[in-house]
Amino acid sequence: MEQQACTNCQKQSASVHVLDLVNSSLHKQQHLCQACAEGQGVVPSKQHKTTPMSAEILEDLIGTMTGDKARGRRGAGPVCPACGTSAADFKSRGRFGCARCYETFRASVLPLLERVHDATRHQGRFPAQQIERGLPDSLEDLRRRLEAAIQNENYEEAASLRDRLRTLEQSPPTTQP
Amino acid sequence: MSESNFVVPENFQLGEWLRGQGRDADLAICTRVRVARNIQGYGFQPTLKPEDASELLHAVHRALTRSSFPEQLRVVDLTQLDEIERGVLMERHLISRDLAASDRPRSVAVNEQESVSVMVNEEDHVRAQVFHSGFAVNETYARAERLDDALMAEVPFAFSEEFGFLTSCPTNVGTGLRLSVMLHLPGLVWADEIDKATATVQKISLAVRGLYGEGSRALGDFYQVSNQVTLGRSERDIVRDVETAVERLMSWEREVREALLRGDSRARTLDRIHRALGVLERAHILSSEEALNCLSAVRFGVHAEIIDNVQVRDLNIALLLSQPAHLQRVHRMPLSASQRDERRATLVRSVLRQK
Repeated sequence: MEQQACTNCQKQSASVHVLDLVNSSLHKQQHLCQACAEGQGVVPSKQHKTTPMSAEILEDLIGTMTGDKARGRRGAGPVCPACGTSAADFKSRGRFGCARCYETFRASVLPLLERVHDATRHQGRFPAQQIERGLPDSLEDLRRRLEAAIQNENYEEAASLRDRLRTLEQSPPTTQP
Repeated sequence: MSESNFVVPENFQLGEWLRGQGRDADLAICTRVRVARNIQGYGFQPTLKPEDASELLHAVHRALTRSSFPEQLRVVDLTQLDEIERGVLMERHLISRDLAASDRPRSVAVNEQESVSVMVNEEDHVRAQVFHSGFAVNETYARAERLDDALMAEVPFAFSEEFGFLTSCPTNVGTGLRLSVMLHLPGLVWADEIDKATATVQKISLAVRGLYGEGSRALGDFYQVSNQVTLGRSERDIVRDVETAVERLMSWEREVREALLRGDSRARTLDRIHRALGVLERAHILSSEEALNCLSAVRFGVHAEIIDNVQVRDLNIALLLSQPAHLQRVHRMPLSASQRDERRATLVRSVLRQK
């Protein structure tokens, strides 16, 4: 197929063809490249979901999200109390050091998951034994319940929730018996 | 080695991924499910100490070799294998490039049919894979789930109610599930529609990769279609997403193949297929890329019933044995690239001559 140059920038080859029809006869036509078409709002931006998540893109993302805290200095930002992984370690490796890192870097993890998976919450199956012995408490849920208990002046429950939070915060959430 | 004395043993094992049978096996080479899991109480790979890595390895081995385990697996200690042997396992898709190359204590447990492989101390502690020849997303997933359940009964996996199964890289978190179907799409490539086809699939958040996964080129017109998203969708959703996309690609490929064999296109297509067969039967120097491309064209020819004296099994044997590590294992020595190109030509000629 013959490639037509973009009628707007005259540089890229056109991939979007806009035909203006008046009384079903051709009134005006425009041939645009993807970038110009996106710029003029003729087509929605392809950037968001069509690009496969390659390692480089992931690194970029991690770079942006940890950038504020790390500011390029090694060791700045949160450090995982369980495995010692710092924000800068995570940024350079793109890998977490342990299960607890998901809590440690929670503030950065959520937007990252949103970008990568378009979701922040698991919808799949649970380990069978976890269902049998009751679901484990997540820090987030415990904190929410603690706040609610304090607001309701239910101090007995608040104290017990506080203790469970403390134990959980001292070790990776997944090693709880 | 003289040129005619290479004989493929009659009981030569191709492995499940190249068995060449099952639903839509003319287009769908193999269906694969991979599940990524980490064990509670151990650091993930970047922080795991070698002694902990060994301890973990033994714990997983004990689970895998228990008599009640649903799969019969043989554990292979990868630190005991040389580079060529590890390359052979990689070319058979039983281990990843990362596992082949790393220097951690690591292993793979494989069954005899090569339809199950459990990698230990990969990027995640456990990466269990199930293969099924042809297009079989539901069966393959069901078997992987059984395998996962059996493992979970023995070793506790890192899991959070909120994020699901916790993986070293957040791109795998949630289900930890990667379902992929390897498709052979020469029609779409020849008709210049492959970019359009892969873009369609990517638009629904699926990934399209080459023969050996991430970052590899689409050699021999092989494309792996897999889910990209692992969080926020259930296993069932993921199976359905991949199934729908693969069905669409397959019917597109079938339409294009028909068009390539009609009217003015027919002569060009026949010429391309027969030239490829000519090269495979006659060439004395064959690069890996040329071999894969010619094998692709001939595979198309065989399925379109244009070529009738070549068996798909022989094409699969030639495909597997012409990979660098297999080639070097056949000859029991390391070979330079130019030596490999000569040996590859000899090998392919003799495989295609054995009728």
